[in-house]
Amino acid sequence: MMRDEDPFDGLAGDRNAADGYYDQQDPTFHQLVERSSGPHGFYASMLADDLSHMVPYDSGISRPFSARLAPSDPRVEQIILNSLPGDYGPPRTLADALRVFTEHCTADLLRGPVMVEVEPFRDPQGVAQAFRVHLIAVDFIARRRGRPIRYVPSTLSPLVHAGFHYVDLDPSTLVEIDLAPLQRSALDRALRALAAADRQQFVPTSMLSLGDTVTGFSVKDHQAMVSAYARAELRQLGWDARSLITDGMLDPYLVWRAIQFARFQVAARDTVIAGLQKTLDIAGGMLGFSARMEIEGLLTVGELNEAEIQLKDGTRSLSELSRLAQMLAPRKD
Amino acid sequence: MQSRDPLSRLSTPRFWAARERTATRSLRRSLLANRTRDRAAEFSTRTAIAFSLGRQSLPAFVTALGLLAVLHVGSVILSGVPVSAIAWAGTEVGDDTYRDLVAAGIGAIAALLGLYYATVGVVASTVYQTAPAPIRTLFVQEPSGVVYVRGVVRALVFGIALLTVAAVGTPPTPLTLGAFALLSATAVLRLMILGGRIFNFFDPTALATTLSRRFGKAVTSATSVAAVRARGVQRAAHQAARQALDTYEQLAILLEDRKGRSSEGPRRVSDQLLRAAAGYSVRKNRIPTQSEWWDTLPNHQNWMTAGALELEAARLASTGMAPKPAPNRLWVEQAVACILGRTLRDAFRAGGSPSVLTFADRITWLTANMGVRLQVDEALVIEQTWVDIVGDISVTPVGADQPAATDLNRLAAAEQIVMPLINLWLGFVQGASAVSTIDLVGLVERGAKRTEVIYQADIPPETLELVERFVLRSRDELAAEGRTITEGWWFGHYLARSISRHLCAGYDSIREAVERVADDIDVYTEKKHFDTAATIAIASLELHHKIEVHHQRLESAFDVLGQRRQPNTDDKRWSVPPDDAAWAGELRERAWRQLAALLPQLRRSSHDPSQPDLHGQTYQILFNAAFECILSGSNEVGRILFAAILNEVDVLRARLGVDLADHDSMIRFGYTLEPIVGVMELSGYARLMQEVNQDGIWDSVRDAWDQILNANGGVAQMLLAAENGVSSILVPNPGRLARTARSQQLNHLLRERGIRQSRGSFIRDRDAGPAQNPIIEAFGGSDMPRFAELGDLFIADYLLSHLPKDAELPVRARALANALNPKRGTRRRGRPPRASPTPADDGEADDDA
Repeated sequence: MMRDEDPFDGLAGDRNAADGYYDQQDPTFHQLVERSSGPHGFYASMLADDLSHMVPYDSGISRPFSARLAPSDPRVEQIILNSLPGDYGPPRTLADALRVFTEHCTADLLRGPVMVEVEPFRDPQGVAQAFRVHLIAVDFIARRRGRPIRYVPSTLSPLVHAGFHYVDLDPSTLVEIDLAPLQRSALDRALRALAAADRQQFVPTSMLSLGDTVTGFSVKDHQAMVSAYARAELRQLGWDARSLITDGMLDPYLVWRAIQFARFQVAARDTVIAGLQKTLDIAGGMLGFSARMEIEGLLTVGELNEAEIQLKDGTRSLSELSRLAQMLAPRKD
Repeated sequence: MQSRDPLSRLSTPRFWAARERTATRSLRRSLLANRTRDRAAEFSTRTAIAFSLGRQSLPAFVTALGLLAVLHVGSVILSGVPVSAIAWAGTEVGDDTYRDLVAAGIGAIAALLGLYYATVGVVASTVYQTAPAPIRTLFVQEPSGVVYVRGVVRALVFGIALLTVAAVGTPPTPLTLGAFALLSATAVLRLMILGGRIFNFFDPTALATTLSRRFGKAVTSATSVAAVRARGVQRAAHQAARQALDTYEQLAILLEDRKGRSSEGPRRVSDQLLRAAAGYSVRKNRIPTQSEWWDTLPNHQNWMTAGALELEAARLASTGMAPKPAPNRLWVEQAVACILGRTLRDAFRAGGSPSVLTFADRITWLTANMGVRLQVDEALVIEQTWVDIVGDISVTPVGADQPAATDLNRLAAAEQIVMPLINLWLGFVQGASAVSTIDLVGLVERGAKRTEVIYQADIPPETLELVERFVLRSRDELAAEGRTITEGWWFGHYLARSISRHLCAGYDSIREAVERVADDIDVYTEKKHFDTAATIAIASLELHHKIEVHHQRLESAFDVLGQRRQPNTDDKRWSVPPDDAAWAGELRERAWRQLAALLPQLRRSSHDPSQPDLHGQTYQILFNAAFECILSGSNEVGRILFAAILNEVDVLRARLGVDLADHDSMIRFGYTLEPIVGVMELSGYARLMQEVNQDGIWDSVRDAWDQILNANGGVAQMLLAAENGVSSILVPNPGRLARTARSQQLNHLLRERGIRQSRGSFIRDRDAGPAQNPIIEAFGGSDMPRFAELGDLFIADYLLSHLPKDAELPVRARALANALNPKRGTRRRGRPPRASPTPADDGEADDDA
């Protein structure tokens, strides 16, 4: 089996070659890495997982969709694919790249705005021939004297800010992706509720293990209280917390919540895709190409509006509506 | 951050302990409020009794006052009379004489109190000697007695206080003396009224009235608005009802053990219980499904489907999972049925069979009303008890010391076995029609605003439970989202499905009960209780008929419910409603077969007007049933029934001869011909329908006749004479009306088949080609009489060949014989054609002739 040729062979990026690796002996940076390693908590992790499926697979049981560049240029498309993160190596298609990019963004978006940095790769003559996209979580970004900086391991920079070593960032290579204020507020509220629910996870076990010293404890009542609280707090997000709140919910309500969660996902997806397009615009400026992503077949707010009306009127089956909200239903052409 | 966690309190044992304390306090408050209400109600009852006693004693009191006033006026008048001896009678007595008055009053009241308790003691030591504690309590707490004792004690204490106060230097005023006199007089007057009632205490059932009231009050309490939320009210109501029913049972046991029993006591208790059950049935659907009113049954956990937390808890404690209590919604009916089983049997053993049978109407009424409310399981609990009791009565041999009427009631009891079931079915159909039109979605919407509303809808408990759940979930949605999300179309589907399932379950239960009746008939037959078996079989025919007639209404109810079915729910578990009542028709045929087997066992040498004529009734039923089978093509049953009828002809003729021995000979002759003419008529129908259906029972009928005629050549002449006899205007023809009705039915069938058309029109479809069958041709022809006598066909087609040449046929039979075969005339001899003759067969027969 032949190895794929490295598209970055003979090219040099702006970042230090050692960037991306850090010495675990650097305790302050290690702390930062630990903090940014993703949403913490049982339910928050599940939320990150569920939320990340905002772009489906472009084949299989998922609803198919298509993504292409306009104007079509296979060379530019390959450069873009090489620049974006993939599951196992560079993505094969633009649709695949879109899905992986949104998934990677999601975990960081839960913690705050995500910074995307475009790193040009130049040939020995100093001409940019390729680029790479880096997602920088909010924990590593700060501003110093109005300019953006990125925290790095101590080995990469002697400069220190707020106890962390840093390097300056070029604002012209950066794109910030963030949720709309209402979405951000809904997400923060949900995360607080999920953290509270997390803390209740083992309460039944510990109460029951206390035996007769605890009176009046009821597993059923405890679950009902946690559910009622989480159900109300997750209202704007619409997420069902994978059965944390679903006990006793009626089927139409479950589907309705799924539609609301799909709304959130669609809005977040559109924000991320818009951010990616800005990233490609910056990269196009560096490499001298112009590429616009044209995407068809993704779930739209219009479809969700229609689904909500159909749910209200009972004119479409619950299973179909549920599949639609999970982006599994085929498109209605 | 932890301090802002609104759920953190759930992690502390203190929160749960406080929550439990709050719940306990709430329960206590609820119980206290309930007790206060009970006491207020008790006070009100006792006040009413006191008022009633006062009102009843008022005439005597007024009379006494009137007398006092008259005497006072008389005293004044007398004091003015110049005659000293007379004037003395009107002068005032001395100041200290009141002491004697009060002392005398106290003495009298004390004596009355002593007498009352002496009487109570006598009753307690005799009637209630072996009675259990609750019954003795009931006796001692009899409300009238309690009120009386309190009144007497009050007067007694007042009098003693009066004397005590006077002894320390405060003499009584006329007002206090008057009050004492009033209290003493009231006590004496009350005794006058109560005295008569005291003797009621010798009958323990007199105390049951209180129990009935207690039970009714408990039911009212359990269905009150307060009971919807207050567990204390629910629990107290359950305890009161349970106590009342337990005491009823102990009373029933007491009555069973009494010497020299009479049917009156058990009858009275049974009456009260049935009323209580009826009242309960009306209110039962208003009780919350999770109410503590219900008795509980253990519901064991499925370990393979248990939740992770439950399994974990069991593992931590190294214990099993305790069964979860499930409500037993039949506990009252089961208790009532159990007590009725004692009291009604007791009433019968005490020689009260006639009075027991009067309960048939009440049981029937009760099951009908339960059916209307779709309380099928409840009704069947009562019905099963009734069946057991009446079944016992109907097979219990009549003792020599029992009145003759008891035997009569034995069979009358058997007749009543299926009546509750019939009325349950009728009520069920009515209830199904009503419940299918209830606005269930509106009920959920209204219930979300005010829970109590849902308990007024009178819907089955399974549906009520669903409504309760939907109401709760709607509120959850409102709390979480600020509005309800689930729409009416979804509620409507599941609520209609729930009712549909309930109706299906009720229908299946009724069907099982109906099939059980058929099995019971076999059991009674095996045990040689032939009369009872026949009586039940006859009664069950009405049941089958009612099921068939009203089945369409039930199907319509299912259709109405089906219209609320919403495919977009993705629900595939909608129960399949019953589509027809063919099973009832099969059971009816089974009953006919059972009656056919019983017919020889029911024979009597003559009719006894004091007994039901089961033999005659069964014969008539089977005759009509055989006719129906022949026309409808139920050949297997038809053969059995025809054989049974043919077998009875001679027996019936002999019996009619005895029955009508005192009548004119022509009348006797007319009636004794009927069985013969009837069986010939049936044979004619069998012959005709064989040709119409190309299938039938004619082969069996012909073989049976062949056997009879070959054994005795004179029978053919006798049959002809019988037919000639009924044709004569001199002989009464009692069966003619029924024969005409059957003929009408045949005409209708032939017209439906396109064989016979209205008079004046052509007889059959011209496209059908030339007629192939002379019998069908003859009966389809417009020149046939409007109502043909099928006995004529039997003679013309079959009997003719067994008659001598010079035999005189009835006019119409002769005409028919000519129509069937113009060439052969009326003197044709030889074997008659087999069933479904072909032209070739006819040709051969002609050749033989």
